[in-house]
Amino acid sequence: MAITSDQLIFPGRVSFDTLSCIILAMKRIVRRIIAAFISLLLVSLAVFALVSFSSGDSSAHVLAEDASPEAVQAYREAMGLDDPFFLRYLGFMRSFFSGRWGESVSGAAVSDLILHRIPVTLSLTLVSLVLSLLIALPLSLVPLKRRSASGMAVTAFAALSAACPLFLSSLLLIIVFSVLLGLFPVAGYIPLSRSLSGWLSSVFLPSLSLAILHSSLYIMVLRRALKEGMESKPALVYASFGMRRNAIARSAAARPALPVMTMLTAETLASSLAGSAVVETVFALPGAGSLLVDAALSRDVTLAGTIVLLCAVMTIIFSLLSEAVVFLLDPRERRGK
Amino acid sequence: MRSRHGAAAGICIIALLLIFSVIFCGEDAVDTARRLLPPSLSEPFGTDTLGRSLIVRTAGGTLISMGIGFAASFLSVAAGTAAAFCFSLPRFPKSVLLSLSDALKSVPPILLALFLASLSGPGIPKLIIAISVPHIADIARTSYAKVKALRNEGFIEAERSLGAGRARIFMRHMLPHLMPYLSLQGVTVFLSAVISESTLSFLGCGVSVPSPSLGAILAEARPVILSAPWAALFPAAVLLLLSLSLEVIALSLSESDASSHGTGEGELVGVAELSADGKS
Repeated sequence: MAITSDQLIFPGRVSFDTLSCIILAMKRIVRRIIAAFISLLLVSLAVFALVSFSSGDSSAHVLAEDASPEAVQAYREAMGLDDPFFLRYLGFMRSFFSGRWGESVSGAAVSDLILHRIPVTLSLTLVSLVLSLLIALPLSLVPLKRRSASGMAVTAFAALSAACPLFLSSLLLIIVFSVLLGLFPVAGYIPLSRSLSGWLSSVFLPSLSLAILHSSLYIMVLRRALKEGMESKPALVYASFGMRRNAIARSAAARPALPVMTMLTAETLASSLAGSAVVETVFALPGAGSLLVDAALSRDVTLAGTIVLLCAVMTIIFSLLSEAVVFLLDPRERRGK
Repeated sequence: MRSRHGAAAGICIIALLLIFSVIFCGEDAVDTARRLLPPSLSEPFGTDTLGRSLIVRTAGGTLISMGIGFAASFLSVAAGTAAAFCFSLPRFPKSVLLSLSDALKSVPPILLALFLASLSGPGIPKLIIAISVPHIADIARTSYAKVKALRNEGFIEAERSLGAGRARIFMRHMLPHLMPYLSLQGVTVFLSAVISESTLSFLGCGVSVPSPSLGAILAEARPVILSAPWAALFPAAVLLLLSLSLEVIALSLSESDASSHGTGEGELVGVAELSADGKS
């Protein structure tokens, strides 16, 4: 009996009750959203507690050093610092979700500060995502055998780039490509609206240093997933039926690796603010990450707290999205197994 | 075998770095008459912009890095394991703590450290907490999953029927099974602590200024990096050596962790079963 490759790829394509599947999916989605809300509640509570815990300091920073106790008291009342904790938390959350994020120590509106800086961080994140996939995908596909020289070279690259602190690789890239070769500007940002090539050259090196770091993670996870897939039972069955190696790799290794890659991508996207804090500072780019560093250096609690809370919200949303994508990609998840 | 050589080499390099830093660390006196001296026999690493001996500062920075790394990895492994044990107790509010740990994981350590630094200035204890917190959450969750899987094993059942208490079962019979995972996590946290500490100190939000730190030394060397490359070269090399050897140890540990699952003969049986299914 001839067996087509389609039958091999989808051996167990059974029809299942669509309705029960939808109910199952709805249940899971509702449960995940509730969990996400609890996480958000806890993070915001922690951030708010820490911010308000130290906001006694903010009066010390804003007012003159020899301010009278009455002036401090008036300031605290004006800022609503004397209300009960829970009331202040509710007010804080309401203004957070309506975009009124208060004023920074320097007096500028926090929302303006952050919104001005988002485009830089967004460009860095997207360009570095593209670059890291461009680096990681081809490198993950070189021979997966244990003792091959090229495979070991790829592992060595991944280990080196995972161990190298981001600021060190950024400095190295600046010295080699900007100072010695003069290919890219040393620092500064050119908006996309002004010129495409200028934007790309100002964003390329910072993104490359982020991409080198992220690609190491992709390479390690993807290589392990592919290797496990190629050694799995389905792969052996396909091989014993005489399927080509490339076809086996596609169906038994690449497809099962997709959910893991999705989750990893969501994680790197969500934590990209941490990386861009470093890279933006080294390359002197006006992004949200360097804003957080400035806030930390100038003890700007409101600004730092808002950025951290935004980052947490983003992480929670990204993890929800990635779970939804995995749900769509993985038939086993859909059937609730 | 190869993976064990890797781990041994990594541990040797870290031991050598530790010996180096203990021998050379000491007082770093500011001496503006000796600014930016190139490496020589009396000053093997040269001097920095304030005339301080770089070998002394590098050694001190390495020592601080290792101390923070050790503290963070000890704290996160101990607290993570303790949390996993608490989760396995009945009537423990684990769903609350699990969502709390999810919440903690949603802020990367560097951002958490920057936020804490904005509250009341940078400092080593805050650094250790910021680095450990996300890892504690991770370790607690994974070890709890492993504990839950172990609970149904025969040898645990046997122990329980002999009347062993929860704590005894956990310490004597479950912990050894968690050890490969925990030691891997310990090294991973160490590496992440070394990298985070140097990064934060480079940004100016890590170890406070007068005490030496590899990141701070590199930040000070950055403006003069072309005229005095040695001011950055040696500290960077030490930092890279430290993190790379930790990475090698972590890689070899993860390899031995994975190879313990055992693949090989089992596959053939699997094929026989699968093809039998296909025909029916």
